Amino acid sequence: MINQTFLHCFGIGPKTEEKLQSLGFNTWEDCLKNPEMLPFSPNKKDRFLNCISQSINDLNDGNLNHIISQLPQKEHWRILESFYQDATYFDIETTGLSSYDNYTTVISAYRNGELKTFVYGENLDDFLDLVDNSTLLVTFNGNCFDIPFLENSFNIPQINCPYIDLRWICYHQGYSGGLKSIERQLGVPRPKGIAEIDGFEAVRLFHKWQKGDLNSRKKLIKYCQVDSLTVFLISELILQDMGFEIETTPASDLYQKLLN
Amino acid sequence: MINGHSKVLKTLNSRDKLQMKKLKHYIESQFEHNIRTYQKQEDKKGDFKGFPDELDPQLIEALQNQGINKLYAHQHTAFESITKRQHTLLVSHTASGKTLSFFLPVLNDYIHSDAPFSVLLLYPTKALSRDQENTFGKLMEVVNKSDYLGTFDGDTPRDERTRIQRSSDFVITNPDMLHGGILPNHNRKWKDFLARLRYIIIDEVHIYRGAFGSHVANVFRRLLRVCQIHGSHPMFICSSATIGNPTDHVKNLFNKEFFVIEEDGAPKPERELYFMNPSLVQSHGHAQYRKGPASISIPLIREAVKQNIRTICFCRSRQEVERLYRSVIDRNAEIAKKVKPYRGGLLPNERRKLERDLVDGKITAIITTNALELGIDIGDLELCVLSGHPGTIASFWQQSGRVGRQDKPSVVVFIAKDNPIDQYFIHHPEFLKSAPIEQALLNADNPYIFLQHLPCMAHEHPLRDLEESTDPFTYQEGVNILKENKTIVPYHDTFRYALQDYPARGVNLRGMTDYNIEIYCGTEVIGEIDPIGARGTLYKDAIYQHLGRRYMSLDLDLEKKLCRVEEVNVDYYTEAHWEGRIEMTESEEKKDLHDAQLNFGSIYYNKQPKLYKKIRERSYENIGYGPITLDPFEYYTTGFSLLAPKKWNENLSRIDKRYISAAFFGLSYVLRHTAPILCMADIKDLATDISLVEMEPQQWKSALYMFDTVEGGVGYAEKVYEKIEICLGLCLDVINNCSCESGCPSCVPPLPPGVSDEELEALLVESNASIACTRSLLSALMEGNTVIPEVTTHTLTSLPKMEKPPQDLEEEKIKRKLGRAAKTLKIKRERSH
Repeated sequence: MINQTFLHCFGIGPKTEEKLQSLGFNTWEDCLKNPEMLPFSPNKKDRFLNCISQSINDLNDGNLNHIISQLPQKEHWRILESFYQDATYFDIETTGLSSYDNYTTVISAYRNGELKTFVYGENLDDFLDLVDNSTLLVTFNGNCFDIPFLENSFNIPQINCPYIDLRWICYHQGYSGGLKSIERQLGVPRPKGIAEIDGFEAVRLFHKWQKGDLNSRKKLIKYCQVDSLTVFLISELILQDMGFEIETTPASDLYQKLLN
Repeated sequence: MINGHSKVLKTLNSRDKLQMKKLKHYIESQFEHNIRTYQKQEDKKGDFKGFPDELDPQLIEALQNQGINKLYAHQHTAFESITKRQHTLLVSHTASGKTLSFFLPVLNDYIHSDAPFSVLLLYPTKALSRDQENTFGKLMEVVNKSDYLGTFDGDTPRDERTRIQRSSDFVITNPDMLHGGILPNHNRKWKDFLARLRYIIIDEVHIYRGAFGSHVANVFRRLLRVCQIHGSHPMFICSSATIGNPTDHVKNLFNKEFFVIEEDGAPKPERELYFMNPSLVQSHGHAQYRKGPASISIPLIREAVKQNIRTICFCRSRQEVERLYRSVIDRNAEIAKKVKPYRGGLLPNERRKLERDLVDGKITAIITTNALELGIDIGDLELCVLSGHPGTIASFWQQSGRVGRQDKPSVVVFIAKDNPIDQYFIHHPEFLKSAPIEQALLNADNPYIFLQHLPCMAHEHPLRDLEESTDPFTYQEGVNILKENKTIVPYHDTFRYALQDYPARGVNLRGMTDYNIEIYCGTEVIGEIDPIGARGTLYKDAIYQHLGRRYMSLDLDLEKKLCRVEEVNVDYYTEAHWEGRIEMTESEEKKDLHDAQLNFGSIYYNKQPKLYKKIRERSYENIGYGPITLDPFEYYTTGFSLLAPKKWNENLSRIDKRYISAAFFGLSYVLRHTAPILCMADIKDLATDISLVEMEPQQWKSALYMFDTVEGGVGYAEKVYEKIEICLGLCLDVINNCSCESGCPSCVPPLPPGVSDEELEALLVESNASIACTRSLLSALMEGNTVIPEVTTHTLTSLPKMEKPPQDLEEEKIKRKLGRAAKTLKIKRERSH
């Protein structure tokens, strides 16, 4: 649970958090109930209580940006755990790595059983509407790539939804590597015909499509869709791995239902 | 140059006075018959003040270690206004201690502030950027934080750029880099720097005028907008040369109220001004001609060098610099060691060495173009020679101001060329003293220019309902246009940039020719030149002079942007003869002015060198011709043509056909000089041309063309066309209020430039035809009558005051202009894809 951590507050580290817990302060609400019992100097107490009150409000309003930016990456699983059922899991394909002279070709987003696809030259802009209506965005390696790429591509200062990166959540649970490696480690299969495709192939497919090969278009889109679905599947599995009682979705069911 | 008054200088003083006496004696005896006027400007004592109370003791100590114990009054005033956080402008006749005026308050703040803030320094060209880093670097050493300084411009290597972006507090750059490098990356690489920005220091702010100035004003709008987004509110510290409207100028540029300091506390030593006219001589025929200024400047410079008097000589063109240099050092090895030429087109390291040698005293005399007119510190000079009038009153004083620092007396020698304006100054020396200094004019809301920056603004951050400091109407209409052509799309309650490109890349702040042609001798690059200059001086077989050596051009490849030359030893130089063609390709609008026809539309302008003359050095004999085969320099722009009323034409041609041409040349001149005021343009942004137009078969009539010199047109000539009656009224005002009788450079000179017809020249030189015929044409255009000009033989005198007409915002016109600008942008974009 998000409200069971204090590490996003200024000056609070693991030792202090332990101390608070040993004194019976397990949630934010606990601290507000008995502020006089907090083991802090008056200034530190003030600052701490301000942070807690603000965090409660932010959480209520769905303003996760500040909490996410202040919370150590190791604890980001808390955000995932609280919001995984309603989150938007997405992946993008582009013409290259640098946003300086490349552009987005496909975006695929999964949320609550629905898969939406946004395609270059067709409806890429609609992705921004989806973002407006989302509560949390989840990507794999998106902090380094997808998010900044989209911000540059769409010429917006900041994407309009809080976001977390599954790659680092996995890393802190002992699973390191790229998306496909994590899939293998956690036992997530890929549908036939998609397993061999990688990022470079995705770029090639795009150019083939631009030259008129509609099969390439189909393949590229399917590849992107699979990427976004596995982000969701891994999220469920990693939470289960951490000990949460999650009813995980079988990959084959998802693929059958949503891919064509 | 930091002001210092050590004991050493004081003892030199009396020796200097004696030296100058010797030189003056030489001038007065040698050129007795050429001196027309002598003026003496008395010396002025320095106005000093002690260090301000708030000045940190560390800085005081550092200054005292360099021999500085007090400040000039204006430096003290600047310190106070800047410390009070007022936007400050320093207007100076010379660069008296500018560095201290700027940096003392900023460094003082820097030492005392809790968190390091950042400072942006803007210098007009790359060359100046790099120079100032050295002067400033010395001051920074004082504060022991020299790691926080960096120059960010096109020459900065890539790894250095990252270091500067990450850790520099003081960044020196230029407007082009700010526009294309920093602003588009404000949200990533420059975010921290801009969020901490506290001061923006801009040098030589007077050069941001006309079309270029309007572009720069928009770049600053974008900068301030981006600062506001990142939460900073920097203040401006600027310096300017003397212009007629300093307060308005900075307001137009930055949309801020400034505290303007015009006093100059530096002491001014006595300065003596000689106006000289070279002698008239008889040529082989019976004609008389006047010698060129070299007849005086060559012996004068040689004598000055012999007497070890530090000299600067300003010439009007690069090739003139090279030729004069060769003549001065000819067969004189001693002098050759002490004299050097300086101009644009030299490689940066060559320029740097010359500047250093001049400051160190290794060079005694430097012959230069107006490249040395601006602020680079060149030390103390004693003699300034002006070879011809530099073109503007402001430049005249700027160039003469390069001598006479500290307490050394100085001498300025103005040598007139044989052209009407120079000769006018000889006959009317008081004109220079009392002529109004030209104003710097610009218009940031010029729709053609603004519409180029609006996409850049959108790319930097989505456009909101209201953007500060833009004219609301122009902004709204601009946004509408970008919406219509899908350059921007709605996003929440703003508009985001919808394209994938970098709009700043397609916007050139300086107009058409911002690239250079490289000059190769073998495999070595010996120099560079702009494409227009290249056509005029580097065509095949041209003789090109560089730092005194002569080269012949083997091949000029305009496409590859290079030219190959080889060194030669010849005794002649070459001069290209240009031919121009102007044509209205599409007439968009017509107007009738009392039966005179005006047409506004697309103008095609073509200038091409067709042949060159070979001229023997020293004797100036013409020893041959050669052809030039080069692509013309051409561009499309907008402008209008004017044809005189039929009746006027018929009546005047019955008396003397030359009257018609005289009127056109005269009107062309006065129009070209008054129109910029109406459009808030710079004089070089507008040009006129007189061409023959075939009205009816076999019937050719003179037409006056006026057009923008900026490619694509920026609405200047368009404005004149729209307000032609007002503009003509201005011209008539200027002529009527001028106290001269038969014309002068302030209204219509007796012989306006550009006249090539011998018969016409003869008429103009002998009489007041130019002004009388111009009056007649103006009368016909404004009132529809035909007044036969009364042409008599002549006399002369001086000047008027030009008032700026009220500016009214005609929204329909702006809409139309924006529409046109959008079309131009579209064509440009399609062309580059």
